[in-house]
Amino acid sequence: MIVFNYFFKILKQYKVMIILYTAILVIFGAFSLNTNDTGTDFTITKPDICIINQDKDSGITQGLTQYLTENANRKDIKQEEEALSDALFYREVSYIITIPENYQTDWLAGKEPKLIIQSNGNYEASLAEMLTNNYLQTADTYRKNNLEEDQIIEKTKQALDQKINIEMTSNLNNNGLSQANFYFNFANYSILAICIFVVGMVMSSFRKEMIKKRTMVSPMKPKNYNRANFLGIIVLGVALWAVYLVISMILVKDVMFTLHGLYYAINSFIFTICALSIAFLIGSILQNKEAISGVANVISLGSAFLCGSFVPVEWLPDSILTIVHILPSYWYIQNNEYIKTMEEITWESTQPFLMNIGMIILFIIGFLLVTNWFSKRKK
Amino acid sequence: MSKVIEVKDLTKKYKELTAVDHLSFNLEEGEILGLLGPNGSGKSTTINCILSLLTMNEGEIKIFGKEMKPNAYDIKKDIGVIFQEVAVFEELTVYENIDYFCGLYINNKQERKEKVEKAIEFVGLSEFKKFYPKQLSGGLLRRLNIACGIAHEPKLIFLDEPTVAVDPQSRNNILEGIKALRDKGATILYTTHYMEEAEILCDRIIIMDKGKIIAQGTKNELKELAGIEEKVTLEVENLPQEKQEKLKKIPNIEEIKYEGNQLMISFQKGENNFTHLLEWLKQEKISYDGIYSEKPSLNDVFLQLTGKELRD
Ligand SMILES: Nc1ncnc2c1ncn2[C@@H]1O[C@H](COP(=O)(O)OP(=O)(O)OP(=O)(O)O)[C@@H](O)[C@H]1O
Ligand SMILES: [Mg+2]
Repeated sequence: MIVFNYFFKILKQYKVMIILYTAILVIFGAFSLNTNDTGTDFTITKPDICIINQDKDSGITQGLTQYLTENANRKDIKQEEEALSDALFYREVSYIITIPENYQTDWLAGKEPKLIIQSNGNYEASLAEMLTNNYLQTADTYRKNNLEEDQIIEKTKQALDQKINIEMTSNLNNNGLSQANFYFNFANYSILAICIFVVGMVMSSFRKEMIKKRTMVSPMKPKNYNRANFLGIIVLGVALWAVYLVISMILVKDVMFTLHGLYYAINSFIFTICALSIAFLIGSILQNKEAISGVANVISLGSAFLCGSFVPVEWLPDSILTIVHILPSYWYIQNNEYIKTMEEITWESTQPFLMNIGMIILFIIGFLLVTNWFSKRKK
Repeated sequence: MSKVIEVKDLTKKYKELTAVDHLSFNLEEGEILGLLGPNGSGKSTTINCILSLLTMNEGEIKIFGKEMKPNAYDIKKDIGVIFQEVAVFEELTVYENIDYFCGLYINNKQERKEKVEKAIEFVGLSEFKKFYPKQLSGGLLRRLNIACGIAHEPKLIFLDEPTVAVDPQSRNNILEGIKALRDKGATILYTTHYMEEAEILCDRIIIMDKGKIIAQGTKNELKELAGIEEKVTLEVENLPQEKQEKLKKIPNIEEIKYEGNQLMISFQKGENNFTHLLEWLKQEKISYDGIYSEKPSLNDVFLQLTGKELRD
């Protein structure tokens, strides 16, 4: 008990640092709240697309073309291979749909013909893909009901108009979600910095050669001693996470009391445990306090920049993007991004979320194994 | 009196170097035993082996009649250790540091509080309770270090050179404190390379060199070993070589040294040594200033036994 109590007495010496990093998080979190809150949340981005219709006289392809023209920015590009790929490359358009000849005939015959798609794979492209699929799937349901061609087009149009309205209302919280997302992405930085710094400092004090000797000549059993230290670290992490959760509940309360909020909470909890395991590893390797503070800075700032705490990962060069997969922060932030885009929360949509959590848990296990190996080797 | 520590054939090697070499001794209840030896003679290694901080290569160690092992917690609870280097938490105040280390031994809060207060009083840090270690002077820091080791009122106390780099006032304070601990019933093993300390403090002294015991006993017993009775020093200007040779013929003179104007004469045991010298000086009409005589020190003992000085 004495060791556990004094773990926190020593930790108290570093409270300024904890408050400082938390304050930065709160300030940036609140700041993002103000800048985004401009009421522009209803403008849904329209993807830039290009449609090449080689099946001119058919009703269904015209229906699709019309639907896409209404819901996307349709651009005219010269119909040449090079011009098209240039347009994709320079992001003039994100998605090029080529409707092949006889598409209508094949489609009506139920042959499920394919559109020819060129895409640059970004967010706009997936929007365009969604729109296209939306239309074709809806139309397909009517076709299966053996409706006439004209009726199919008419009914599809009606159904889709309605659907857009529903989606507009269901997506009302986009703004709140991006704020929550920003907050939790930024928390990656604060959680890592605080955990590594504070745990490192306290461990360094307890592991000082002479302090260790004093403990070893006392009747305190090493098992109890280590357990008290470990418990202290866990309690610190859970408390930190709880405080950050409460702050998020204040800053973005309309999100945090939904299922999305629960997912953000779970994700950040697992990540906090991961940050503790990193801190535990560093505390076991390094003894020098300056070195620990330096490493805490490098790791927290580095992974924050590389994994997209401050700026979206899409802005980073591809070479870096492949490397950052080896950082747990990447999976944590990717998971936040995924939660933001979850349309509805079902077992299926939860699976990618769990995959990311699984990755972070693997990291935790890895760090603990390395720590264990390291302390055994030291003995 | 019962034996508090029994050390038999303790040997500790660091690779080639034998730091402690077949050391055997006992510590009796209620005494202060001094381990005296120059730097590197193996004092700290001996203490660390006794405490099971180091594994020994050979030997047997019993404390309170029981075998000492790393997991001998029932022995450890009655031991207090003050290491050579200061071992405290930078982040904790004087009070908190003592409370923490005392808490490793004593769970009861009320009992601990009383003991911590007592220890603070004892080392004279009452005014500094709320100070952090880096706000303390070297001497005060040493006192804190001691308080951390004795607050739980152990029956057996190890002190490893607790006065290194301490100002004379703090040192006296510390030595007085150690005597007081003994008077309250503690048994003490004290290491030092200051012979004056060993002389003032210890009931019994073991002189070590290169990991071996070269002599042991009370300080008077040890001084017998020095082979000289007393040393006389006087100031003489320009003493010619022939007179020095003559001087050596006085009975019982072991050795003379003449440096600057200092004439140092060591006498063996014998009757009227001092009178013989004074008569001779009168007879030779040698004028002198400030003559004084001293008893041999432990340094002379060490010199006699090893051929080198104990002082650094
Ligand atoms: N960890 C170690 N590895 C190798 N050699 C060591 C180690 N610790 C001590 N020694 C050597 O063992 C010998 C005894 O050292 P020890 O520290 O016991 O001496 P000491 O009498 O306490 O000296 P001091 O008065 O300087 O504290 C020395 O020669 C020292 O260099
Ligand atoms: Mg030593």
